[in-house]
Amino acid sequence: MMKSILLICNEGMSTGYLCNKMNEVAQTDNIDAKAWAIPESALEGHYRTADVIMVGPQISYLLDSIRQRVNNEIPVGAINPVDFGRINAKAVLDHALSLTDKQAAS
Amino acid sequence: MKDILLKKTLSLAQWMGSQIHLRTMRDAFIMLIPFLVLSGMMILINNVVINPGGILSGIVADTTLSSWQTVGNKVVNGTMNILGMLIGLVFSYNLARNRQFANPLMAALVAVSCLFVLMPVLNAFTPEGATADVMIKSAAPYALLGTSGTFVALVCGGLATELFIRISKNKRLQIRIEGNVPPAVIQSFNTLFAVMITVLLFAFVSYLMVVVAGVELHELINMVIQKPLLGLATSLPAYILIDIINNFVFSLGINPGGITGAILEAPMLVAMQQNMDAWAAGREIPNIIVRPFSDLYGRMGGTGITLCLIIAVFIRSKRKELRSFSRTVMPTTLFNINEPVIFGFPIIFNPILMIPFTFIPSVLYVIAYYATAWGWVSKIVVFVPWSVPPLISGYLASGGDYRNVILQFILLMLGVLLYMPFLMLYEKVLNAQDNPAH
Repeated sequence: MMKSILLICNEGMSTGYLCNKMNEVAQTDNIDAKAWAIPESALEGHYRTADVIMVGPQISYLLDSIRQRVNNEIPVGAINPVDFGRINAKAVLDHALSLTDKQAAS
Repeated sequence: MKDILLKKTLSLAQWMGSQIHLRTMRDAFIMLIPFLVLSGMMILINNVVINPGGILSGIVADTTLSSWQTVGNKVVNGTMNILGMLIGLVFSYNLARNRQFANPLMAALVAVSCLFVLMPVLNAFTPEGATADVMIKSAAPYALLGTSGTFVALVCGGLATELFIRISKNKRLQIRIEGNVPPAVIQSFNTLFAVMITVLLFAFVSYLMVVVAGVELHELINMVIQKPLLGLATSLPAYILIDIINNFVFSLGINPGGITGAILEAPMLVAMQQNMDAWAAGREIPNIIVRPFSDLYGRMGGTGITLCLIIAVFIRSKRKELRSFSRTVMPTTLFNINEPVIFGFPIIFNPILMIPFTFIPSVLYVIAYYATAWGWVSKIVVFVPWSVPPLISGYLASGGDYRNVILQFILLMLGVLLYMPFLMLYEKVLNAQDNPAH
């Protein structure tokens, strides 16, 4: 089943770039996943269609409040700052997928 | 010491980041950017391209040109001149949504209603060609709906929405309808009393203000909140102080948008609107520091003017990984998105690079400020979003003045020079780490 990965950061711009790279990786590696990016403030309107939420390091301090805002319904992970900075899309994608697997197992 | 500072900053960021009104305010402003950009474009076209006596004046008759300007003027009426009202509406809508209220549109409608309730009944208008004002009943001036209505709209939108949501949740004030009724009808009946109570309350308070205190709420809010905040935000020392805090917080890995952005966004936008207003009307431009000032002169490539760092790498760096990284982030850097640079270079918790990142923009702001004050470059009159690439942004924002582009270029080069010693020092440290034997 298609995994839907929601990336959030301040305005959805820098994660938007990462997100495009992640979709490229998913396509070339034949991974059934789709990433999309939104500003953190728009979370309430969007999170219900996501399988996992990945939070940009620049707002990782909001991790707990984001978990609360989505009522702990979906796994929420922090994007590794180094992977984020180096735009290592593969690593972020793997991390996101591992979080959805954990959720499925439990 | 460092830990305590970081912890304090983090908890402040956390508090402000989850503070619902600040969060919502940012949302609201982001939603309105298309309207600001559109009105900016129309004012630019009206003042530069089809201005009677301008570029086209030899080819097209002046009267035709000024009749063409009507299109632009109408667009400005529908965007910038009612921006205050639009802000009230989207602020209320987003606030209700963020509070997980089921009917956010109704909350937005109540906010707009209350905004008009607060309007003075009598307003001063100047008839075409006259010198003195005439007081006119039953008309709302753009002056109150646009620029100077921004803070009134935020205060009113916030209060009305909170009140409305609270009253709506009171079970005793909801009307129960029995039988087979469409959900839309039930919803509007459910909120009937809440709407009535909220709007009536606003009307009473606004009436009492005039009768008892002898002052319109608009004037009061503008006097107590808007004016001091505007004066503070557009003064050079305060601006630089806030920018240094902003950049320092970012160098700790926290995006300061939710902290300094939340404080500055509203007054900066009002200042910007005042400039656009003045330019459209042919008056003298009032403010030097407005919203795009920072994006133009001290944030080329993003916060901390990291485009200069990237250029410095291309010029002097001998380290392969820095060069290849700089190539990777070039596309986003050109559009002033630099979080990859901040986290990947990295600048965060990098004691050497944190210094230029925090302070270089301030040096550039001082130069840009005085260059503008002395009339060497134009003031900013067109709203450009922060993601417009450098040099192009200077041209557009100044209403087509190439001198602003030259200033941007000079500031960029100066930034490169200032970053250079820190980059060299950083490379020395990296080299020493690679060869610990030396």
